[in-house]
Amino acid sequence: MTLLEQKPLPAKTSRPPYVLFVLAALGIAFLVLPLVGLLARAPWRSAPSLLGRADVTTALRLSLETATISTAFALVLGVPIAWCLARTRLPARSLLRALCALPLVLPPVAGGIALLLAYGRRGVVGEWLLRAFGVSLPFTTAGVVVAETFVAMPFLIVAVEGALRALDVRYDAAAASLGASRWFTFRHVTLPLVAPGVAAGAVLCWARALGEFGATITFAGSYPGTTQTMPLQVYLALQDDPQAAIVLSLLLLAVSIAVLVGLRDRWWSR
Amino acid sequence: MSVTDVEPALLEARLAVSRAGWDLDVDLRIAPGGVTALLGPNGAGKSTTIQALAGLLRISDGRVVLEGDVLDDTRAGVHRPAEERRVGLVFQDYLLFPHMSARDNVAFGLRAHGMPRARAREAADRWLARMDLAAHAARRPKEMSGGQAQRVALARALATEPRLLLLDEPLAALDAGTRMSVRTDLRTHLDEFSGATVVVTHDPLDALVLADHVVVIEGGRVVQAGTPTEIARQPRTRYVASLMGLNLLRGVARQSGVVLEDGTTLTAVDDYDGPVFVVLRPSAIGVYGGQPHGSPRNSWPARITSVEQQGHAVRLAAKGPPDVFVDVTPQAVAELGLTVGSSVWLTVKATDLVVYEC
Amino acid sequence: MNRTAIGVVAAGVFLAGCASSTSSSSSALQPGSTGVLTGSTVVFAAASLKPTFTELAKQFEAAHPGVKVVLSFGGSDTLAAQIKQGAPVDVFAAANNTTMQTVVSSDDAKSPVNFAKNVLEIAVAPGNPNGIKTLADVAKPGLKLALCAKTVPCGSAAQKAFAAAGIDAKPVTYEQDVTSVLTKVELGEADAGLVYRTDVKAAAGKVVGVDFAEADKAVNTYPIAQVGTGKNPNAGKAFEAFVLSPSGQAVLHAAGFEPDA
Repeated sequence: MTLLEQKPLPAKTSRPPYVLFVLAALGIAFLVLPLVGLLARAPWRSAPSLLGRADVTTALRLSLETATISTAFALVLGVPIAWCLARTRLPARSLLRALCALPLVLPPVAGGIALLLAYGRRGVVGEWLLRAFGVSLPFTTAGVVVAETFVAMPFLIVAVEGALRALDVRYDAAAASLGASRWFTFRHVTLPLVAPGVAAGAVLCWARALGEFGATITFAGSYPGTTQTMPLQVYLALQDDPQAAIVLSLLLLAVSIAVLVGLRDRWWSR
Repeated sequence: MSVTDVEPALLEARLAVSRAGWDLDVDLRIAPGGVTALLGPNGAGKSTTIQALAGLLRISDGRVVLEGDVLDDTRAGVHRPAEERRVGLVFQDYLLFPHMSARDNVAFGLRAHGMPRARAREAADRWLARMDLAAHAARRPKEMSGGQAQRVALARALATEPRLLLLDEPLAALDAGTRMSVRTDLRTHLDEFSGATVVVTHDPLDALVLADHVVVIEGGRVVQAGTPTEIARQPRTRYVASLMGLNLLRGVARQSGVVLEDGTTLTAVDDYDGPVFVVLRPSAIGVYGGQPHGSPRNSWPARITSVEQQGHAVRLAAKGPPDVFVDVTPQAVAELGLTVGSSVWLTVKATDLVVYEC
Repeated sequence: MNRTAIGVVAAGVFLAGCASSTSSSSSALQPGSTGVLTGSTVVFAAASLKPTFTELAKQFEAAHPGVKVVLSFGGSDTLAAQIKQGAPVDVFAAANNTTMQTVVSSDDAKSPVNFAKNVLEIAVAPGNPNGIKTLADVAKPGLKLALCAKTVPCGSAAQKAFAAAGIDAKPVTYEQDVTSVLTKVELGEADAGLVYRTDVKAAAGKVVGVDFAEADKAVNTYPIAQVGTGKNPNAGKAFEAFVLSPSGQAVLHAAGFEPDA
């Protein structure tokens, strides 16, 4: 490829091949049409009164709070996991990676059952928690956070591990040669350099936590104000008032889009 | 060698690293202020050597002592990690932290040692000023030229006041135009540095300009060590000879004749007895279309196997025996009609042969 | 879900059509005869009837070798909606009378008959470790009670029972269906849950049921009716009769249903 040929290339490459273009258009239609369906069938007239209902605002606040706390937990635990998966030479690393990704493939309801068996009142760890500290997670807001963290953390781990793998490990060597401890290096070199990956992972994690239904209802149950998050309310509304379910779904969607767009402007405008 | 033996060494290292199918065993002694160039082809073990010195790689056997400080001692089970060594390292591609300004890059090591941010930045600014980079302190690495980045990397390494400075191919990432000036600058900064320096390079010019001592490594072993002049004049391996642009032949001297490994005999003026190296400058070899008449005692038929323009000269590879490189002028190539496959006669004066003991 | 159900129905229609064309002479000659039934008959039944109706269909087919019973299960509301949209159905068995009435009022079915009733029970861990005997016991402080959400039938039935008893229940959770309530009790997360007796029977060994007096106030009645949109009314009528017959009632009773007295 000569220099002369390279000049017009950028314009050319930005136009996709027709096959890709058609498939992409089909794919976008596939993804967007359900949203159009929701918008088209939404009972706009009754929407305002529904959105003002105390149980709706309670569920929405609970959803936002638990999703945010879950994301914080996922960051604290998930980033170190990603670091170990990307950087260490643990013998069972690929097995470990598969285990960490398990919640991605496990049906959330099954994940909820698994959580009950581990952290429930009769669970392997839960029984001890109850005996030693008098703590029982199911049917509490903490239980919602546990369920959401369990289901959403893999998204963060996968994103951060990818970012860490793409990072030149020799930056660590450079930092060490300048006398930086590994912890100092992690805080001042590694973490800032993978920050975009961490942010992307946190957003995915938060979005997944916000929409979590199966593991939450199975592990934490459903009670207004403590464990009944928006997705649970949407499902219950579907049983007797499908119109309300549509409005609630749209509300959840609107709030999550607003938060993500807001964060985008603040975080990654650079 | 004799020089460093006398002076007290700042760095004293014997490094052995073994891996599957490959091993390294190198001795290094460097006096305070001394600059040693590690010269060798790719895969010779140069990078492994400096990684081991930096503490980024654990040696399998040996001992490294820097200013009385034992950094590695495999017998005693001592291995100090990189962050605990007073060793500075400048990478081939510098590895400046891309998310930090030049100032913060230089301040990084001081901050890592616990210096408050403001003081570390002041110190960084002083270093940048010394490197003529004061105006670029706030720039990110991607906004700097290769030469500027190289100086920031050097300042970053020197700011922590190391006793041993390791430079891995410090000029390899630069284009030929800037290389010359950066090399001269680097020489100045190294002159001011009181610790020991190891420069890894595969460019003989770097070694000759920057170093006061050259260690040649091939296949994980030191094959030659000496002053730049010694290395340049009397190469002991084909690799070093070719770096210096010389023909190196090996043979056995008997009175004033040298019987080469290929069986041919060359006449020399020096009197030696026993195994010797013979160095032929490519430009000292004459090329004739037919067998030359008259005086030259060293002449032999050869066939041209390659013709390459090198600067203002043309380098011919000639198959003898003996096989040699010959530098001729473009005019000679035209007059003699030299191409690949041409049969020629080569001559060299006995006084142009440099003979020394193996 | 809907697609599958419609697919099953379509297959049923197709089979019924084939069968009637090949055997039309015999059935046309002997109208009303229950002795020689042929073809397929389509039965829509509430999801909670799945185990019993599957068994009933098997026994019915054994008694009438020429007949194939095509079953489709789903939420009563969903099934009723499909019937009103013209799904060809011979028999409809709903989980409550309200839903059945919507089909009757749209003239798709007539004269429904109650064939079974289901009552609530308190599901507790085997051995009843908390010694629960009455509905009031589940409202004791410290006891973890799981209920169905008020929007699903088992939840509204539970509310009725508590209202009748004048008890202010404080559940820890409102689950989305009966199965979830049972899971919580089975795993020991909840100490008690209100579910139907048939659900307790189905989970035999993992939970035990405690009857309570106020259950009478929240009885769930199951009506059955012939639907006019079907293609095989004779077989449909025979199947309905079989459900109401002593042998049909025996199957329902074994599953925990009570006859509608």
